[in-house]
Amino acid sequence: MVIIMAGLKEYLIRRVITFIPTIIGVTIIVFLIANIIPADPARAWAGGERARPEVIERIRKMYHLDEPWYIQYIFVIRGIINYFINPNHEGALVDPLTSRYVFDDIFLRFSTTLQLAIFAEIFILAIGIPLGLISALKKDTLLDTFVRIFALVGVSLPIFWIGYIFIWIFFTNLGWTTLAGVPVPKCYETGTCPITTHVPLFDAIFAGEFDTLMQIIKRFWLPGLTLGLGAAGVLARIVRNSFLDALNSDFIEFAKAKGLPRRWIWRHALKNALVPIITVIGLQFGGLLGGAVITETVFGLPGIGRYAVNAISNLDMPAVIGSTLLFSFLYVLVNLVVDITYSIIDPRIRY
Amino acid sequence: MGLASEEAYEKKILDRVADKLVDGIVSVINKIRPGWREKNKSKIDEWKLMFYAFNRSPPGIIGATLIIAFILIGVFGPYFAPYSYRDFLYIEYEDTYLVPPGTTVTVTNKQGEVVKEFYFPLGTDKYGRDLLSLILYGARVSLIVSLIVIMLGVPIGIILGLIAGYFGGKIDEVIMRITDIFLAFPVLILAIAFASVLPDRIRPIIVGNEFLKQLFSIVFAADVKDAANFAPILSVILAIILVWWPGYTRIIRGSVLSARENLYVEAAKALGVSTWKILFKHILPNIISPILVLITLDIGAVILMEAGLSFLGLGAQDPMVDWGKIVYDGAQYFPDRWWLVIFPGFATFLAVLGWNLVGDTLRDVLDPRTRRSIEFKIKKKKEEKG
Repeated sequence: MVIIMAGLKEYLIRRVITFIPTIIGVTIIVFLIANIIPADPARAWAGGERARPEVIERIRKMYHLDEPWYIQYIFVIRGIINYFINPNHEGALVDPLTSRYVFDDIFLRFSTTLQLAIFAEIFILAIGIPLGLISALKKDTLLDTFVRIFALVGVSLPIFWIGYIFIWIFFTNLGWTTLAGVPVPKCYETGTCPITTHVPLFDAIFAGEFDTLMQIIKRFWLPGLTLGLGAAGVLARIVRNSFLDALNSDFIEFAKAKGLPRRWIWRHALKNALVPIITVIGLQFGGLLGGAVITETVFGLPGIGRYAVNAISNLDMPAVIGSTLLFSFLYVLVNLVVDITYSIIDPRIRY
Repeated sequence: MGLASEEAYEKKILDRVADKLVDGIVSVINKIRPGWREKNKSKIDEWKLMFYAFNRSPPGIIGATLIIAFILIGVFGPYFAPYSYRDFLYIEYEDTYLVPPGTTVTVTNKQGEVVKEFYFPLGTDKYGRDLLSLILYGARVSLIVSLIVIMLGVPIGIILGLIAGYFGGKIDEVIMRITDIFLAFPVLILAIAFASVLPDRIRPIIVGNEFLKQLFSIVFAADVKDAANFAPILSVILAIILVWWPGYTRIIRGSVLSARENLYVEAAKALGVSTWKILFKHILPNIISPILVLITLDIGAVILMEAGLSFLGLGAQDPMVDWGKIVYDGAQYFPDRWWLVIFPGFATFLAVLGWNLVGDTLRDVLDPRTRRSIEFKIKKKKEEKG
């Protein structure tokens, strides 16, 4: 046991160390992308063609735009770090268009994207796992073929198409969903929330506001379903295949030969099938956060993806850098958590 | 297995087509390199078996039909389109504004005589443009984008993966760290970022070069007047290539790591075969099967991503169209003017589905076990007949 834990610790340290250069590389790439645009951002931020020269000059000074790129890079990175280490955000990166801290703007919208991803994940798990198990049990039957086709159709559906079809069915005709605004718990105004996570879904649950919770569900279930449909089919296939692989492996043969009860055999198979399933679920969740842009656009959700796209068209580079960085950070973090989880489940992974 | 399934392994029409196709290709190769046919007899039989296996899969047949339709429409569609994508009929004829599918708009002169008649099988958009024609033009953009991305992005990924996996050491470390950084981005976000900053850099190059203008106007089936609008589409292509190669690098590297330990690599080295020949002639053919499946599935994914980027307003710009752009423009009229969303979206869905069906079938076809089972069934059939 001690040896296993020591191996785990070493593995975790190694994994975290590779995490840091990746994030630094990400910041450099994001910064280079932001600097590809030949247009003068200072002019755009000051108000376009009719901007006064002294305002442009002030902005240029403020963001070090007339200095070499590495000075700008250090300025931006310092601004991002300052936001997180200084308690009152002193010296943090300020958005030139809204004059607020970039990460204040980002976190304001992040809860919407997170809620969307959570709803999508619920659908993915609720559809994918049962379908996968059923098609593994009924291998090579009509049901199995149906699940296969469902998975293929699911990944082929353009979100901007199926989203509008769902809107037509569930909003226009049935009225089962709302499409405007983002519901927040009443305790935000009164300031009586027992725990504040800044995610309306959780805060409403903690405050016991079930009418708000219902409003949130009504607003988010359909975008969640739209976003999760493709991934649900993929998960069903992965669950099916990894389950069949596990059932066909030597140790199950051995367990059967030994005469173990069925329930035990299933438990062994399930545990071994879990590794690829958890990997896929983790990767999919990371992908959901970054892939939500189109869903947010179709359903008019003011999430972080929309924010990033708007920032790009406004040449609002600090906002672009901030939001892209957040996406990549979360994505890498989710991968890290997945790696760690399955190194705990399956010690063989820790090469 | 009953009698019905036994009968299914009799050669069908499609199998004969496959035989002809393979024999044709083989005789061409045989002309270039005499004696090739005798040397590769088993390989040729294997190819035929792959086609037989494919022909036995209904999803594969449906998928292949969809793909062929997509390619044909992409190549020839713009020439058969009833109207050009630049026919803004609304400017002259107000009645053509957002008409529903199947409408015939008649234009009469002051005397009440019918001067002109327009038929719109799929309706029109806000400029009075025929939706069917727009979808046909859009197919070209989708086809070109997915082809160029796969033809450039995949080889880059494969070559880097081969180098990283085979040479190892510092080269491997450098390539894989860069790959990891690219893989750390959610693909859509990175593609959006690239696609939105690149057009301003690409536009001057295209607009200032008469040859490129002509070339891309043929490639995209667009008017030379829209040369400035080629830049955003090319940016989307470049953006998708930039986010696509790392996945291939990682997979190929993994396969090379295990393949290079094989005896045939050792033997080739001992015989003094050059490194490049070992990489491309010995290792690559042995690890290519899963990559072929991935490429097929990825063409669908690229079509989806290109349409998605256009839906966000990044790809084709007015007046040029692709499927995502038509939906992007039409979404504001949904659900009253549903055709602007439903038809181009459906076209996208079918094209993507085709590639996914074929990719999924290829996975079975390229599995040697599937081919062996068919081979045995065919042999058995022959023996029964005597």
